[in-house]
Amino acid sequence: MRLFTVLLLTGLLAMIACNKLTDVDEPPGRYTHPFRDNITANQVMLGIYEKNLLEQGLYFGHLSRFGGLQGGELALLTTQGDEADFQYWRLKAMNRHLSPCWTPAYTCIARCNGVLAELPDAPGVEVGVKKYLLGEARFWRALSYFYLVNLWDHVPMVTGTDIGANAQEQQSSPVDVNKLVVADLEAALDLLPTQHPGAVPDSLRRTRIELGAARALLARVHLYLGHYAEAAHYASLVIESGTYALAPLDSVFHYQSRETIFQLKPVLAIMNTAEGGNFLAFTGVHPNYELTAATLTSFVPGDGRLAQWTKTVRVGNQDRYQPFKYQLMKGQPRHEYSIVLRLAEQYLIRAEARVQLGDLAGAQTDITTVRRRAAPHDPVTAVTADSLLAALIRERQAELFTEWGHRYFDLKRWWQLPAGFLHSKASTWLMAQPGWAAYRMRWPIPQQELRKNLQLQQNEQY
Amino acid sequence: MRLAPMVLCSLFFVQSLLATDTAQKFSVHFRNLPAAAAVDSISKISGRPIHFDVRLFPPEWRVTLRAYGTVTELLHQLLAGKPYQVEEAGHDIYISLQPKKLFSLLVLNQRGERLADVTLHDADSNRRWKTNADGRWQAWLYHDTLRLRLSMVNHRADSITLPGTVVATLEESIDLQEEVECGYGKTNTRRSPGVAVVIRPEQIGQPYFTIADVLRLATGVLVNSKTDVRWGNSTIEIRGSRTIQPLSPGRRIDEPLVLIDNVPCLACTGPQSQLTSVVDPLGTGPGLHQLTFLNVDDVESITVLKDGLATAIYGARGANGVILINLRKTKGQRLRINAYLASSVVSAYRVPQTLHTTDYLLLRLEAIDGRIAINKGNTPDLFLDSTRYTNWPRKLYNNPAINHTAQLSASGGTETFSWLGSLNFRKEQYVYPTTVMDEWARFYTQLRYEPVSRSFSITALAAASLGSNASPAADLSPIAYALPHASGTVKDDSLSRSDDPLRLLKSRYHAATTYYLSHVQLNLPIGHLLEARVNVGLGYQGLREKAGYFSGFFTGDSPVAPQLVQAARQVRTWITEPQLHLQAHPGHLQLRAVLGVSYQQSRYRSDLLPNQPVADDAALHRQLVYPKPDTSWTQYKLLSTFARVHLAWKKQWQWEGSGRMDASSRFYGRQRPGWFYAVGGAWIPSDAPWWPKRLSKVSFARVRFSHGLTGSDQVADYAYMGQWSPSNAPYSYGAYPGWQASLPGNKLLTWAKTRKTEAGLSLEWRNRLLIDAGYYFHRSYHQVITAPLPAQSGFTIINYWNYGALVDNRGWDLSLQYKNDTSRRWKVRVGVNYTIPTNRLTTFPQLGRLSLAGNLIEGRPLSARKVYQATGIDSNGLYTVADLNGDGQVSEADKLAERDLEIKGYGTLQVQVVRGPWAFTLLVEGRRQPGYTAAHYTNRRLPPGMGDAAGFNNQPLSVLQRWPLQSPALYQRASALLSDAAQTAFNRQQASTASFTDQSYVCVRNLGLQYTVASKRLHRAGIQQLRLFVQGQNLLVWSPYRDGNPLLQEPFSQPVTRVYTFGVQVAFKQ
Repeated sequence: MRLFTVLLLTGLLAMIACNKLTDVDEPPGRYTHPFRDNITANQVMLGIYEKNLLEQGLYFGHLSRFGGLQGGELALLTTQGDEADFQYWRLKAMNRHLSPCWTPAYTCIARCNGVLAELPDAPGVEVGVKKYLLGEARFWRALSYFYLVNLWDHVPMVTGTDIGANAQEQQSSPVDVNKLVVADLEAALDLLPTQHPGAVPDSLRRTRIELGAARALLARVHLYLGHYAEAAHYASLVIESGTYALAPLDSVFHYQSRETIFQLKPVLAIMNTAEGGNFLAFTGVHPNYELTAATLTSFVPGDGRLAQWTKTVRVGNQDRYQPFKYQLMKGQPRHEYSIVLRLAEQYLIRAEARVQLGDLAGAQTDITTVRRRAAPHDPVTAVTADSLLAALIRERQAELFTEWGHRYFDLKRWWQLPAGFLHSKASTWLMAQPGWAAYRMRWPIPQQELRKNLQLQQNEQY
Repeated sequence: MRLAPMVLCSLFFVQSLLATDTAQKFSVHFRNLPAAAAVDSISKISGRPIHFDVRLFPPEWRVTLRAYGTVTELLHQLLAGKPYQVEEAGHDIYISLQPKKLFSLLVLNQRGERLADVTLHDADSNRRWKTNADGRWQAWLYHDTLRLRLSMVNHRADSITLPGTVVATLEESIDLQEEVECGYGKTNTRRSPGVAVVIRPEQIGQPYFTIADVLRLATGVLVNSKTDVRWGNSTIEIRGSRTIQPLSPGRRIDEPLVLIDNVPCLACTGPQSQLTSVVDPLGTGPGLHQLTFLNVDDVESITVLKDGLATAIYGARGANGVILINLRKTKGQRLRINAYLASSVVSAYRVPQTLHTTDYLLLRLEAIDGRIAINKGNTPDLFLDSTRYTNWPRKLYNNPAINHTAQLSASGGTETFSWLGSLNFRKEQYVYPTTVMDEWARFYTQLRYEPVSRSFSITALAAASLGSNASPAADLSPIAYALPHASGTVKDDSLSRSDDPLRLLKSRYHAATTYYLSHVQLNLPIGHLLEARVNVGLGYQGLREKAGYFSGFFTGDSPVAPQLVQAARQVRTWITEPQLHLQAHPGHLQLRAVLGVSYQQSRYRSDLLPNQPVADDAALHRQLVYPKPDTSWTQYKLLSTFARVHLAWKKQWQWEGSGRMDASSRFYGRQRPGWFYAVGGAWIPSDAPWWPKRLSKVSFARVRFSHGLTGSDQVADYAYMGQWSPSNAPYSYGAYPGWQASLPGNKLLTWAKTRKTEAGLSLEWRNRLLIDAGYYFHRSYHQVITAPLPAQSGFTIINYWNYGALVDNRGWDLSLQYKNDTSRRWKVRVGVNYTIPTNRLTTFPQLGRLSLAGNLIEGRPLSARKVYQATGIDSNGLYTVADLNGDGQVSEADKLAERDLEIKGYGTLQVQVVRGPWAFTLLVEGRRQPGYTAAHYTNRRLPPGMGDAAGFNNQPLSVLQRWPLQSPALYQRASALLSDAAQTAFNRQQASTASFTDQSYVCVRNLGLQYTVASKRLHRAGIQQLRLFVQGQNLLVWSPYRDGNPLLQEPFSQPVTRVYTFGVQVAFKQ
């Protein structure tokens, strides 16, 4: 009977120890747990950067294309297809370009959530490394939500790492999402270094998120939210930090430009920046896009930007203007990176905020600073608020065209402002668009997402 | 209080007994003392005279004893096992020699045949003996009487007392014949409430070549072959498919668990060829080995467990049924040698027929119809020598091949030790024009030791196989469809090199399979009721593959360097299963119980070296080296605790219950343990005393019922862990690459489960005709399916997710066994089994959200699809389909008809007739099944008339039945243009009711005749038996499906092969 007891005990023990005894070794390679040490933790962060650049989408060209089309900066040389639906304000939920904007944002958010959840407790990673990686994760999450909330308004806010729960998350109000964006960026301010140790060599300058980037994005977010004092404050911090300076027109989009606050280095061997690849065409081949008259008229006569940042291509017997900020179409040499944040925008943010705060002289100086570089012969002379705003609208168009959908977001936020100069200007333009309707100011949620998460509600009227 | 004086009284009585002389106890301690001195000293201590003759004690006999007891007790201990008896005469004690007595016994069966190897067990001294080859046993013992328990496999155990019995008769028991080792302990298949089908290859009486062939004989086991190459891939399915999604293409989760002497065999989940996609894109050719490493002649029995009760003891792994393969065990002490030689001729039968040159050219011209400019660029096939004709299918398949098998086995032993060894070589070929070879060397040995005291037994067995397979590394079936006027050898100017069909032969695939299994079992009886048993098993399976493509294999104008692909995979497994068995027979009750633990660990390693260019053909030959499996590995562990209780009351009631807890490393945390159970009962009224006399011709009747829950953990290892992959486009050059989270883990992933309910009725007529009918209902839930995820979760897909879909499999298993009176001169055995399965996807609430939505229909079988209703061929010669929804146009919405490919019924008929030295066997297999029409397969290859730069193919002969040549036509008008209206019509036809037909068949799988020579002259030469046999396989196929090969479903992949085997077997006996 002793044996019986032993066996019984073994059986009981086995039941208790079943998890211990059936634990398996983690095989090398694909299952290896990240955040073991400084290197693996860094690899996870680099993976987030890379993922955004591996295929065309939100962070690789789509905003410049579709924001440009919808904001009236670009026109397609065809009138058919899913892409034309952006230009003619007739987006449908089935549009195949919606998912590539929606999905990368959430992929990026999920990866950042993973870093934020697991990295703080990772024993093998140094505190200093943890600090900047957490800062980067917060910045990426904020940037993703910033675009999501400005494109769709009502988006699910996912902050945890439970896939099952995340998959069923409902939409949150834009106010909550914006709060999260601001909170993340403010947290990132304390975490990020002024110069990223991973971006020290010249070839990697500003390719990782640094303190300036968080401040710059914070300035933009506050401007979008109408917090003008904060917007001016953070823009000033960036401008006055001395780290960045306006570069000559021909080198603004060079990868060594001092104007750049944050840029993404292309990773695909066959491509440089998505903008270069999308907007330029091989010699003799028709381009897909041209710059619209509205964009071209925003340049003052003799504006250096018209000469330096655009290019004419003869199609048939007509000259078509192409964006030429990024001049490399594909492959090597690689000396253009995709610039996410640059100093000129900060001047314009501060100018707009100053007008709204009543600091008209300061606003004029800021607009002039940007204008002076392109058209030194034509300084800004406006003094009243409205005329300064008119100059600002024009300057934003001329300076930031075909960059990350600035024009589209500007139109949207100005249209949302209470009645005033900016609102009326934006409304006038929007009303003139053939397919425009108020509900179309937000994109429809991609159809396939609605099928996969039954909790999601399509934006009204789509 | 009244009791107190009584207790006191009895205490006093005990005390007084103890006080007497004889009961006085002493303590002694001798070390290495001469026995005589020891007896003297006991005498001195006790003060009682002990009388003995010193000469009886050998002087070298020394004793060591440390004991406490009465004088007699001490003496008995001292003299234990020696031929002395102790007698007390008053105060004095006498030791004298026990009289030595000769006991002898002859054991016969009821027919008077002498029985060898009958176990004789003396329960008093716990000694065991065995009868010799002549059924005799004798021994000199110091006993007056001897009570022996006689037992033997397949015989009813009996107890006798000696002397008094000279001849014992041990009745052969039909009942016990069904006693099989299954699920940790023996089960009586005839009486048990569970369902176990036992096949003994020996009883089949014919050489079978693969285990899959043998498994066809079991009721309810469906063996599907995709190829007629004997060593090729086949799948085994027990009771329907219960998983919605295949684990990977060609590999279903429905594979049953295969255990070889309790060691899980990885035939199904083991090393799969990694080169299938490279070597054999259709998955029809050779290259995959499934249980071929096992020599059928080394198999003693195969038990197939199907229902909940029988499989629940295997818990986790039992959902898809269990196949237990028991290897041969040693028998007897005499040396036996068995030699066996056989050769077979393999030839193709029903070789597909293709168009003759003129018919082909007519077809093409009809298809081109002046709409394509005829020139060497567009239509090079029209510029070939139109007078030339090669029958390519015959060239490919009409190359008779010869197979050889040789086997030598021997067994023998001594009283305590027995051994068995066998060696088998086999070489097989196929009907291709190139060398296709499958060679196996298989070795098997078993050793068993049991000391005379029978206090324990230890059995060790080891099986090892080395296999080598060589074949072309490409699917050769395109050769059969080469242009009828292509030359194959002469280089035609109008044809590029790609049209030399024989270029496919310029490739080589080699696979080396290593298989090893060993198993040690220790049995340790504890008293009369208990037995401890420990199994330890080790298994290894390795598959190393390489495929070489010589120059000239690749198409194109510029020469392509030869290429080499290599892969290796191995699985190591070890398993240990300590168990405790209890057996008791209180009164009318019989109790059998098992309690045990099972712990398994497996490690998989694999490596794949993708295409590498090699300098030239010579280098390719040199470099055909196998890689070491190294680059990736995974681990699997399974821990189980199980218990089973079997109760029988008066034999007519049988109850069984079992429970098992499994913990699989494939799940995470709290999902890891799975609990499984089963209960069942059987009632055998024919054993009851009240069974009416007028029903006495019904010799056996049984009603059984069982219900159980089993599970399946056949998902990938580490499925709960997220997967990471390094980026191939690093963000920071020079630094480390980024890590991408590529797949999410599912920590909630849990067991897919199947609830099995069964009921059955068995009736036997005069011990001859046994009819068994069973109904089963299996419901599978927690389906593991690849699921799409909303992007907000961070991933777009998760590989394994449990869904609430219910898949029901129900059906009837019918079997009929007949054998005539064994005393007759003609001995006839007939077995028929037939299974009628149905399969249904009962509910699937989330179906609409999955990409599978287009492929599944709720309430219909898993293979059901929505299709168009075909309406024939219209006056333009195009296929038409009905506008079922009546909206005036034909669109996807008109796919309202439903068709499925579910097998409606399958079974076998087995006949064995023996008369004197002659034995005849027949095995017929039949199946009722729908399938695709030949036209569907033809269209899928290449619609008739089509041909472009990618290739020009000949068409099967049935293409002659096309519009307008024939009416009603099988094919629409020939068309050479993809953009033609014919293309739309053709696409619809492919997804219409016209693509389905009846593919039922009846096939004579096996027909054999053997003659056994037994003569005195041979006996004197030491040859006990000489057997000659001849056998044919796949001799005839009847099917309404005339255009292809219904045995393989895909009709044009390969023809059926007929195999004629001749052989001789010689048995030597000492």
